[in-house]
Amino acid sequence: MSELYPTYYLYLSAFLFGAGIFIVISKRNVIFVLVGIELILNSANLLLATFSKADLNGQTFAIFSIVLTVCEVAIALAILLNVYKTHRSSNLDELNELSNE
Amino acid sequence: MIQFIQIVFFLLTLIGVGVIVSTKNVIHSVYALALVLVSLAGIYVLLNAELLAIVQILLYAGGVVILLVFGVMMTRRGSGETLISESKNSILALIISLAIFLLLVYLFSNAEVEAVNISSIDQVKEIGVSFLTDHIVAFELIAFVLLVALVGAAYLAKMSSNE
Repeated sequence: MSELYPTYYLYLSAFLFGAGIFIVISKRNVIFVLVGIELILNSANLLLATFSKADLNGQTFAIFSIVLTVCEVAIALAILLNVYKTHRSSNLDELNELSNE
Repeated sequence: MIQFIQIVFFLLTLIGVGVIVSTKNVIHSVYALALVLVSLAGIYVLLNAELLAIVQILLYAGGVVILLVFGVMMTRRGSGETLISESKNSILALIISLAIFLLLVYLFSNAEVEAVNISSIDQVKEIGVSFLTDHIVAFELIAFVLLVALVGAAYLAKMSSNE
């Protein structure tokens, strides 16, 4: 039974992080930026799972991080709903005022 | 055989990330994110982290993706219109992300990771016990944070629909 080198998981994590950074910087839609943040957090979780071998602390931390991500997305989408109500847009470049009055 | 499965999950993850990076359609990116999350759950199983894989599918693929799809549906201008996202600063973003990627690859190339050894301990039981003994403060805190975040999100969403 031949396995891939474990370092390949680390390279995959680095790739996810780089792709997440690219999406956060270049895309202009709020939901796209949230997707990029998800990728970054998943790269961290993949690292935690890779290095969690004998004890299960890595898995425990990754579960905590997943729960925090769910909180973050719920709050972010609730804020997005409010922002969309005042600005009628989810494009980050058009959201340059605190209120529309 | 296990190497074949690993390559399949790696390729699925790479394809999903490629779709997210290249597409302009926001809903396509959310579905590609679902593909990435599920294939990452498969990778967690290969890494001998079964509970993490289950939590990943339940919370990420089941919760976060549904929330994002709702977000896309709520913020469309008209019904039937697809939500298109522009790209800006693509070259700058490519340079920065490539630099970070290469730096991480350079750092990771010196890392020493043991190969996965399948353990026979009951992971769910072990993690459950550690939640209530070693990590009890973090566990209670995160329960409180989750409660406050969900109540706050419901309040904010209600505020936007009332006015």
